[in-house]
Amino acid sequence: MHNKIYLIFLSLFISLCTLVTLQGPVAYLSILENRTLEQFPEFTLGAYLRGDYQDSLEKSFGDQFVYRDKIISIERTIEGALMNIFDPVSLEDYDVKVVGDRYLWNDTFYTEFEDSLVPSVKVTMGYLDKIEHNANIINQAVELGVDVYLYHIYFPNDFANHVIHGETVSQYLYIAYKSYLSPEAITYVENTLDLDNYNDYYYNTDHHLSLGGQTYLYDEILASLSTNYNLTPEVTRGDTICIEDRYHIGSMSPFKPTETIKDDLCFYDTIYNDRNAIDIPITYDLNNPYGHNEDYYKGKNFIDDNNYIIDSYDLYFPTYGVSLTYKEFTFNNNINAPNALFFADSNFSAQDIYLMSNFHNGYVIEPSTYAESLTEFITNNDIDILYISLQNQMFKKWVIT
Amino acid sequence: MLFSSLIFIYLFLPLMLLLYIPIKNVTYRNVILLIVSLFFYSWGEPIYILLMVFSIFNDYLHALFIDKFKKKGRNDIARKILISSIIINLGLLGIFKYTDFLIENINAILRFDISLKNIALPLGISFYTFQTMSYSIDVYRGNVKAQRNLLIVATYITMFPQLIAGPIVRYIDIENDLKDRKVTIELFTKGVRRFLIGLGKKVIISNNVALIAVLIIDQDSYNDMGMLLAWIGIISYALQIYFDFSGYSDMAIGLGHMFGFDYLENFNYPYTSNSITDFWRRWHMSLGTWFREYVYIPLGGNRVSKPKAYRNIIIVWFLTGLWHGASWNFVLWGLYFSAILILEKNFLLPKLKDKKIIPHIYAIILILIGWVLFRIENISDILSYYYNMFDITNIGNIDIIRSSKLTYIVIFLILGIIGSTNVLSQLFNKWSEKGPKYETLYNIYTFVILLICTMYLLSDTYNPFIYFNF
Repeated sequence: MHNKIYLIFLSLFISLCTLVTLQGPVAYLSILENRTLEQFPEFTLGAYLRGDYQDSLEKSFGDQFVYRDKIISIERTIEGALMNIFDPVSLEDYDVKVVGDRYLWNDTFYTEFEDSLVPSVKVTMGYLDKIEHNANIINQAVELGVDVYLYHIYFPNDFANHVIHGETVSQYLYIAYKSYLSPEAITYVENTLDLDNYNDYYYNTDHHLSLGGQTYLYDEILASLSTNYNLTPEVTRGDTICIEDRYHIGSMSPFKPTETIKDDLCFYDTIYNDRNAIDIPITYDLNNPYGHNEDYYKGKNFIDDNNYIIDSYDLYFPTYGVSLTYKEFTFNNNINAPNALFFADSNFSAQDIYLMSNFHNGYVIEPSTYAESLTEFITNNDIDILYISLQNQMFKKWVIT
Repeated sequence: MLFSSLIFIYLFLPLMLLLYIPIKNVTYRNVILLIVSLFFYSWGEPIYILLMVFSIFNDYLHALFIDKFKKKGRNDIARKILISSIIINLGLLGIFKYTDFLIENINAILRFDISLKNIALPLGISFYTFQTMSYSIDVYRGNVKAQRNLLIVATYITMFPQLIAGPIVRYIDIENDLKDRKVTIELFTKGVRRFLIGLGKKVIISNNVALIAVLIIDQDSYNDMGMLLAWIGIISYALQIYFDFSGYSDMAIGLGHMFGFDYLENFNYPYTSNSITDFWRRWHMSLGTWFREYVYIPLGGNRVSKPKAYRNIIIVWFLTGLWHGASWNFVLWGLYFSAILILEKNFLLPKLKDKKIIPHIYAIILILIGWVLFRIENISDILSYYYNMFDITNIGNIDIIRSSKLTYIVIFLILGIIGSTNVLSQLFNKWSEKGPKYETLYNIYTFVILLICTMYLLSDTYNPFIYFNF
């Protein structure tokens, strides 16, 4: 009897897998493998005799197999866990030091590095589920007629991954987003930072902490305004602008901190005008590499009246976690420009406040903490454009609805 | 089409069984088996289906004529017909498998410049050629009657479970099954489980340990490889080839059960052997049986003078090596074992007889040394590899494995080592004796294997069958 049950169960399982594979929705892209998937071929006698039909059918059956990506993801998770147990990567082997990425411009590249998995192994269903969820939220904006720009940029950690593994996590995440987003009304800005070689990674890796990269993204956004909305950007490279004290976050900006001048009203700063790396004087103790980083997280390195202030982060961003609105942010406000919404990254997108000058009204939302309706926000504020750069918060499951 | 492919497991096999199982008449079952087998064979190589059909008719007719002339008492003519059958079979094998090998050697010895023909090797030709030859020889010997039913002969020759990579099933062993067979629930379940165990051996163990074997052995140069890496490499290969081939044999035997056949075993834990003589009683048993029955014994076996007996052993192992591949390293591999077998026959076996551990160590080391000859084609590379295996001044390290992030494969190496002994099978046998509860556990175990294999096959890991090359 138990044998009968076993055989019936096995038959049902195999039949179900086969039927869903053959009749289920067609998959076109494997995010985990970064490749297009083989489609079921049409039978022709010529193709059969050449063996092409058989090859294609075998490949497509595997490629279209039910829950393929999820199953591969499980395999990768297991493999990745085993790799991490048996082969923990020592970054020192690769001259990559594990410290805060404030040391980006030192002789040796330093970065924070969360784990040592091969990126393609690391990008598993856990990520994909979140990305699918997030992408569906972005799709709501598309349905409302908002122009969405998705910028493909890299993380500092990608540098280490690139050095060690030759691949990066963000490239897989980007592919994942592309596969889940509505194909229409999304403008993909491929390889915003265009990292082709070691030096590119060294200097241009983007995040709100790494200055060089932000300027590239800034350029890309301005270019899109010029091309798609026929607008001449209000602030471009080399312009000196006034930034309200409370919004200036020093070296987190895409500006040259060394040229910062302050009066009672503003910081006067110049948008970084050189695509080469910025030489930031590092004054803190290299023997205590985490010291400065800790200061940063405690909010001690914001600029004060004299030089660097020690006020807390919360003082400057009391509304962290909800919509950061720059409606009242009056300087250079351009009434002819569209309204824009930015999805901020982990803390704050450094370039956002400078971009405000190029829009009528600009808003920044952190979608992983802003638990309101995106549709309502877009409708209420008459949003024309949504800018999203592939940054830290894109990993997280958003709470925005 | 590989047995260890998703399309076979989830599409081809279920459809085949759906056609086959409801039919009870053995003739109709043979018809289905023949058609499906031809389809299976044509899947990879449609053009070679003609070669297969030719082989069927060739052996069918030769056997009939042998039988006819034997009945008339004309053994001389029957013998000539048998020779004709053997020449045609070996001729085909020679043309498709050894032409380029022959040309290469002629070019090397006589300094000619004959261009290679690059003839594609038809899948399974080494296996089915030996099967068909055994049929004709057995008819000539009077061990079996010539089968007048073409369908039965065709079904025997083309039967897809063992068609491509063995085991080499002799007609005499399945004659009765071809004429009358039943598929009971018990036999079918046994077949399913055996198939899944074989699948697991191949996909989970062999494919994973192969990553290490390939990484180490396929290096451009073995300079400074170190002793440690050399041994890890060849142990990995030993496990890879065992789980690859025995896994395939398990799948073939399992499929045989599903269709009502009872094939003979092809492996019996060869790495637990206590001598090389013992090893060759446990490794690729169907090939060993074939050479013993159709080459060694006809040559006189060991019932001749000592020099002739040694000659017989050398001939058999030369041919065994050559059967595995058209390359001198295979011949060397065969001759290497012939030398050891002669030594064992003469004086080693009695000395190993009463010892417990040493014979096993002795056997496994010689087997591993043999696999180097088998795996590496180039003679200078073989010598270099041996040098590393025994260079005690350079223990070396496993940095190449670490940097390739393959240290975790040690899990599969350990599983492989355990799995190459009979510990697990004894455990399962004990379980199954204890009743249905344990049977259920065994069923769950095989289902989990299916899930894991599906996962690995989807990930498109390393998945070639080594014995398809032969």
